[in-house]
Amino acid sequence: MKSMSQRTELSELFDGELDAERARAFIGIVARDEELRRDWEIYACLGDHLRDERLPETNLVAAVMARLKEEPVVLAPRPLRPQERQHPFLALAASVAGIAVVGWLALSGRPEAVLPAPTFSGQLAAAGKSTMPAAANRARLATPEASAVAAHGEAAALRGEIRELLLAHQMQASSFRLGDSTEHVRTVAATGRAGAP
Amino acid sequence: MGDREADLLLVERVQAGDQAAFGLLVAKYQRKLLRLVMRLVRDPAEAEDITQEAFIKAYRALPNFRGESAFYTWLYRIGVNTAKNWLLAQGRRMPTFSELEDGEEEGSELTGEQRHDEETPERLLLSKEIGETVHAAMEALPEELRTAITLREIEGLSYEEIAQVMDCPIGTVRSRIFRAREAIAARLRPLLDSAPNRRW
Repeated sequence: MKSMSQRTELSELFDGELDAERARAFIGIVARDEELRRDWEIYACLGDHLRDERLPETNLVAAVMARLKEEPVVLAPRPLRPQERQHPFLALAASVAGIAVVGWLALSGRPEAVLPAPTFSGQLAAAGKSTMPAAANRARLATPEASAVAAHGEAAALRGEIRELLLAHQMQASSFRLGDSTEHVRTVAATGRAGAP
Repeated sequence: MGDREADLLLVERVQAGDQAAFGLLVAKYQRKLLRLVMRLVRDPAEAEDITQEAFIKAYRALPNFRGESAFYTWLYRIGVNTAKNWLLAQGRRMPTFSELEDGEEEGSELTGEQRHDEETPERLLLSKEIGETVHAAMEALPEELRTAITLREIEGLSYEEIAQVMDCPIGTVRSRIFRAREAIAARLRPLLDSAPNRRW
């Protein structure tokens, strides 16, 4: 005969009312104890018959467990419990925080404060090398003042070209469009890169 | 913790390699799943085999169960699919919702005639005896125990909700539900122990 406390715990476990830590340990005890397993079965039986008077009586446990002896033992990672799953608001909060940071950088008006955008800026630089007219290349070889003026003009022209290119690309891409706000981000990044020494 | 979390703990145990814990899940859901399958296949004898098969399929699929849905929802889906496959193999189709509802009104898939045709007299007698014993035991319970077990088993309230309804501490609810179960179980044990295939 099991102790009263174990039987009380069995009743609580059956109702999902036992503390999770205790339940985890107690399930192991119940699974190995024939008397507690039988009581679990009786609790299930009385509950089912209370809810439905016309319920057909059955006991598939013995048959299923006999068949399981021929099955390989299940070994799998622990399933996620509800409290371990990512809260949906976390993703939203992260998005808002990201937009706030980009917005603050865009509105601060300090090109040097702009975070480096290595990929896109790298593309800009690469595009600049390949699309720069030969005359502009020659102008670069002149005096430092003339070179600076020419470089400024080149950068402005390049930004214009790239913007047109991106807009054309956006129009072509039906599945993914950049929003209006991202144009500001692009402008800031391009400006920051062009203005950098 | 609730029912769903308790089931997840049992599932975890099985996933860690403890087959015996799966028996606790079978004991908990076998009648509910059998009743569902019976509604679909309308053949009590076949329904039992299909239900057993559904449990075996569930066990095999358990490594893929990640706990995104409740265990019983997942198990019922396997039961429905197993029944559907059986019906297809028989060249039959799943009953429509209205057909299921009509069956309910007429006394469900277990019409008196079908039960007498398909089920053994021993099993019919056992079902009847269990039902009568449970209800007789309920009638004999003191009112506070009967109310507590009714709110839990029939209404599905949590202990906290029952404590609010009955205006008593949650510890009292635990004790009342346990005492009610023990009183009913004491009457059921001799009956179930004498029934065939009762032991694990």
